[in-house]
Amino acid sequence: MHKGEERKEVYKRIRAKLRKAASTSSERVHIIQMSDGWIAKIDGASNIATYPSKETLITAFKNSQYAHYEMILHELDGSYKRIA
Amino acid sequence: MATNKKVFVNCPFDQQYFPILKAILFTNICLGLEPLISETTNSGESRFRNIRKFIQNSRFSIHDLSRLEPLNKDDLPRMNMPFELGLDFGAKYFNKTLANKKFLILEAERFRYQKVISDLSGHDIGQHNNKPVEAIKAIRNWLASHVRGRLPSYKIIWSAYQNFKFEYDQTLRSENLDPDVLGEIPFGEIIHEMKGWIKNELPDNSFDYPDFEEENNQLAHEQQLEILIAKVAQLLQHVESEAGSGKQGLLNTRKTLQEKLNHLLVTNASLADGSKKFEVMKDIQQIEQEIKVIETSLHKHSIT
Repeated sequence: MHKGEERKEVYKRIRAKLRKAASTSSERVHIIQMSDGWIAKIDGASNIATYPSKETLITAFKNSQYAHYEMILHELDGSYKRIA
Repeated sequence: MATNKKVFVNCPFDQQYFPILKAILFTNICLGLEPLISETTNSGESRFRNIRKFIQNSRFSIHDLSRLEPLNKDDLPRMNMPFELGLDFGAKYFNKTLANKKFLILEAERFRYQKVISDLSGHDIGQHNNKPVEAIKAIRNWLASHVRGRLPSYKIIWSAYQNFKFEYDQTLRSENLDPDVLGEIPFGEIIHEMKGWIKNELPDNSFDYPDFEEENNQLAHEQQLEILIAKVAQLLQHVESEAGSGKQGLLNTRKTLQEKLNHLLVTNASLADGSKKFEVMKDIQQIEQEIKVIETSLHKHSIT
């Protein structure tokens, strides 16, 4: 296959994967740092919840119906990591 | 006619700026706009011709001047962005159909631009401190003054972007591509992925941006209001100077004019701060009619 066509196939796959990720529930919560606190956002949901500190957010989450969700910690610079 | 929602993004294309550029593109799409950047179009066309087309066709422009200062000691400053900003200004000021184009000029630090382009003072300047979240905040707050209704907060946009970025990065890595490397996939593709994601994540993103024609009407209303204020102030002055003559009804007329003047001044202040930009003009014509009646009556009694 021509290199350009290969690339096009890759882009097609990326589109399909992202479309699938956007339309399926992934049981994941994003914990996002802001300059004045922390935000919790369930994967795929459009609303957010704000907390004064990371600790209060995580405690609230561990005591909620979402306790089993995977947690992704996002720093203010845009970097992120999975937390246990 | 459909509202023009195109935004010309005139920003640096370098590795360090890439995270900010992605956040800018996402924010624009999230807020219902269509970003235009030179890399998104056919490579057969010359870059300059594309830029001219973007300037001519866009309702909004974002110009980032943060590369006026070179990234490294041995580099020279990048002059493309200020050059294209100048072209855009020229189009706005010399082409009547583009007179209401809205610009946001972004800088890394507050007021730094004044040292190199002091003529920009008085325009919409935002700063991002080289942080994507700050760029999102600057763009969201700028657009909030050019839309009818409310936009989502910058925190909602930043959170949606973090969610998108996580999925996007994972997806690219699964294809052995590095999401953090500029040029790994074309901007046209990145924009397409963002649009698809936002369509699922924030489906209600059709915000109401008034078009050029409406903005021109708004400008005409503002001028009409200023003329009316001057007229009422002049009538009030005449009435006050005659109030001591004992003519009947003048005290009531003075009170009415003073009330109308206060109301018009408050309306004018609301327009100036942009908070009620599109709502305050409704009763101006009514007041104009009332003032005409007062003016005719004063004229009949030889007050004016």
